[in-house]
Amino acid sequence: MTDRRITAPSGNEVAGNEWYKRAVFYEVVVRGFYDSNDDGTGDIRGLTEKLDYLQWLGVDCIWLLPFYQSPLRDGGYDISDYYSVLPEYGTVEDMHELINGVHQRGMKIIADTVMNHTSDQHPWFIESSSSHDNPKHDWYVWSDDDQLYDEARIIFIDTEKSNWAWHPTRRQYYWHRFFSHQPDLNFDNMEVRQAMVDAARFWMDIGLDGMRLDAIPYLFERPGTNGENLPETHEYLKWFRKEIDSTHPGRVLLAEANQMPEEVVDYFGNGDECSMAFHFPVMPRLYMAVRREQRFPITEILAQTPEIPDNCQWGMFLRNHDELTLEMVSDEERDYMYSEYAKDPRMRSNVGISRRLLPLVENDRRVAELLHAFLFSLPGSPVLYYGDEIGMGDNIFLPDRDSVRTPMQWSPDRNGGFSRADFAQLYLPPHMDSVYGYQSVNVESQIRNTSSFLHWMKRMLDVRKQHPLFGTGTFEVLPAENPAVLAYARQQGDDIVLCVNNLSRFSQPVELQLAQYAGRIPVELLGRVPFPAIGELPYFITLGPYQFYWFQLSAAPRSADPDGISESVGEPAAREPGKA
Amino acid sequence: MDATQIIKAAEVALPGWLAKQRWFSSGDSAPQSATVVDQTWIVDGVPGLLWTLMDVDSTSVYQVPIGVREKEHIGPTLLGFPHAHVCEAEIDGKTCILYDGMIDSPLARAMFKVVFDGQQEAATVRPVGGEQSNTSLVFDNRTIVKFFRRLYKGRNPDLEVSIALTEAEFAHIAPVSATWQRGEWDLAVAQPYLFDGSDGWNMAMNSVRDFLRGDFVASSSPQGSPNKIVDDFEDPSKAGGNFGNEAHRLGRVTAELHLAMAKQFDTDAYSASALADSLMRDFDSLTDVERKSMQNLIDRLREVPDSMAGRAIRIHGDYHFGQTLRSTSGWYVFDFEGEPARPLHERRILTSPLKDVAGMLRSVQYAGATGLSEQTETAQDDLAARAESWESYNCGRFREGYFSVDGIETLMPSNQETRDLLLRGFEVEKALYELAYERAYRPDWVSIPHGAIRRLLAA
Repeated sequence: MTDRRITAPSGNEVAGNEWYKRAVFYEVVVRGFYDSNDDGTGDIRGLTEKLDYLQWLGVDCIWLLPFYQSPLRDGGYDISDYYSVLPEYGTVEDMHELINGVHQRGMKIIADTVMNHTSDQHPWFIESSSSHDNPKHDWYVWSDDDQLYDEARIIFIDTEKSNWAWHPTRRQYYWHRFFSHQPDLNFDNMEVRQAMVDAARFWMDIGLDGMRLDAIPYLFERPGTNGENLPETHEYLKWFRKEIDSTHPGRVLLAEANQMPEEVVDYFGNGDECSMAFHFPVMPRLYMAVRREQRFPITEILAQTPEIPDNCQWGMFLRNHDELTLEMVSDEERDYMYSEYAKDPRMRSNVGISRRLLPLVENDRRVAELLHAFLFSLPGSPVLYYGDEIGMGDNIFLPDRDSVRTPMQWSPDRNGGFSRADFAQLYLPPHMDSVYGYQSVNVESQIRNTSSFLHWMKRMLDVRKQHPLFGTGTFEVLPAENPAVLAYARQQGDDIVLCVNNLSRFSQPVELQLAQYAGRIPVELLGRVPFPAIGELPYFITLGPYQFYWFQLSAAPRSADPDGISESVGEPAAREPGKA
Repeated sequence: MDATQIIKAAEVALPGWLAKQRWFSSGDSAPQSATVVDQTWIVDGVPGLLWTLMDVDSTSVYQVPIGVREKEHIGPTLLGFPHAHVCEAEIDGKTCILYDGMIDSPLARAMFKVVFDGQQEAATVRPVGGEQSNTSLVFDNRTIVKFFRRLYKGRNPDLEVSIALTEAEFAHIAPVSATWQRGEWDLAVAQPYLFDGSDGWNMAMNSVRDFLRGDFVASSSPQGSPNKIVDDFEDPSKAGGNFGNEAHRLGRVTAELHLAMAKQFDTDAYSASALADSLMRDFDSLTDVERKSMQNLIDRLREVPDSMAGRAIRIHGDYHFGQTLRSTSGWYVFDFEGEPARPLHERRILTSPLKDVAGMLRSVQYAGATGLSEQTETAQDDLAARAESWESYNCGRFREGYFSVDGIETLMPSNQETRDLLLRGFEVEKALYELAYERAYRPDWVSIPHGAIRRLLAA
């Protein structure tokens, strides 16, 4: 297996096993990416055919949503066989080919797995539910009492009335934290614990570089608790990590724990549990900061973000296949997000919002660029969502989350170049409206046009790769009197990048206090244009609407002390008063 | 080193120099004499820093640290600070420059070390702009040291209040981390510098500008014809830069401040006649109609029995946006010196906390009016209503926040009618003060307080 280093040749390289700390991730919905066999549904071979595109863009690691055998009642998160591939996506052979193709290009690939539950069609559940004494009778959580664990909240409040469902054959209730067709596995059973390790190893043997662990806060149930983030869950995850490390070192375990950062950090353990976790609340805060035209929504949430172990990393995102998650924000913020972005009730699903980035920001490319500048420069590894690199739209008239899972728009051709199947055969209709439709928004035309959003994104990723500090450097907010401006410094060794962002829709001035960098020359990173040297006095910058700068603060030969004093006469010695 | 030559030169040059300093305030006439009454070398020699205490015209005392450098080595030190240049002096046969030592980075850092009793050092220093009565320096972007310029015997009120609130663990001030005293004089106070903050004025102005230039989503219904676009312009709570939640939070912090002040200092029953008396004095600047309503307001204030007017406590005394700062961890309040124009003993007078509330309400109105004044004259007519709705909405949110704090009612007049009457009285008092100030210094701005007085008296 190739072990390409993500860092630039000049950088201080991350240990090979910690590649994820500097990687740019790209989330792919296989169904919607590219159809290689003209059946109207994207497939694994289709993705393999498009690997050159992802490499060109600068993606380091692909993240696949579940591709396993499934009745697809929950987008594949209802797995009915961990060892086989959903036939419409392809075969295990196809996965071999995809993974090899990814590695040949120096990239990595991870995939979703679901530990908490299976489909009710999974043979394990069929067996378990068949009697009280079959070999798998306690692989799931069974009870005669549907009031047990009643302190656990119901997650899908729109569709489920209880976390228990009656099974007529076994004549008992089974536990499900999500849909009733997704029975929860019983992690108190040792065989279940091992079964999850076995399934993960199967795919890692083929070459998968890691897994995103879906819905992990809910693995265990205990009376008198809400059944989330229990100590047993952390113990199990530590054991799971140890098992994987013993056979497959350097693989990433990405936690999907949809919680506030101070709770999520528990999933890092002491660097011996998950290697990455998503930072959920940053994303709504970014939107809010742009809307309010002030930095505090962002600095507040960063200040609330605890330190994480050295070998761990946050996953940062602007959009993903799930809606903007509001369950962990305060009431005031939730009301705010609703009123600003989801005035149309159709945009709501469950307790969230199903929108893509560009429609969310009213198709303002300046805002989209600013938000990506944050995504690429705040601490953490950025996770892109397929289609956002060309500014695809959403179709809020499709049910549930399908709004943001429409076919990738490759070209202005029929079906957006996604498939040569008949239109009616497509799993979902591609966008055809006049603003976001594939005839105007597609990869082919944006590749031909160097001023496109796609080319801008590629340039940004190039710049990011040249400065490992974006992944692993320190982060320091800098003083700025103007509340519409957020300025911060990233630093690793002698490499310093100053990021200055204007959250306002108007031009803004800002005076930055950069005396600690006196003598350095700010070099704007997209054009490598040197700016006037920093002195002891405030550094004055003007920013256009939603504009941002990334400056490398390069050390320049010091011609003279900026204030011209201390060099000429030396530092006087201080004395205590009264002792003169 | 012998300081005689320096003192001699400084005493000659200082009266003229002092008159040009923003922090110098001794009435209208230029000072006649400055006499060094105390001095010590903080950095001995040349270059050096001679700290001095100046008696000016035997009426006031100022802190002046004098920097000394050889003229040929002065470099660009003073280029950006021409006002800091005191004079030239011959010292031991060399031509030296005497100047305000506060603007010289190594010397200022030496003073920092003194303030911290030698326990801490700083690598960088910069002055804080826009300050009037003192000189504040920020060290390493982490510590701010305020050097008092005009000194008073006894506790400096800012220091007094800051220390009391630090003891009360009031979370919305920068706690006192060090003080510098010499004899009976309070010379400086050091506090953590809230490097990630923006002052309230900037926060409010960004919101006003956003609202006044608002072309935010017109709520034309998708079904409606495009010819019937309904602008959603006049509701400031729907604007992107909505300041309402911030105003509400600031209101809460203000009430918590007053409760902490009431706990740390003496309190007394407030007498509304004090406010009535203060309004009496400013009668001459009004029209006949205004005078009539004013008399009416005063009469009603005099009718309020002392038992009904709420508590008199130590208050901020000069409360406006410029004294507040929004940081990542919320709102902070600064500068407890009281109104600098008033004599020290008056700044300590106990009074109703509603005076501070009124001060901030006036500041909200100034923000709206300033935003309006930035627009072109033709646009101002159209936007005046919008500025007014921004003001009244945010004043309302501030008040809501303030009165929502548990316990604040213990400081308030016993019924809401009296409370509103007092609040209006304090707003008028503040607006009259503004009117006098604008007439003297910024005649173009007279219409802001004048409009406010008219509106308040009409209510």
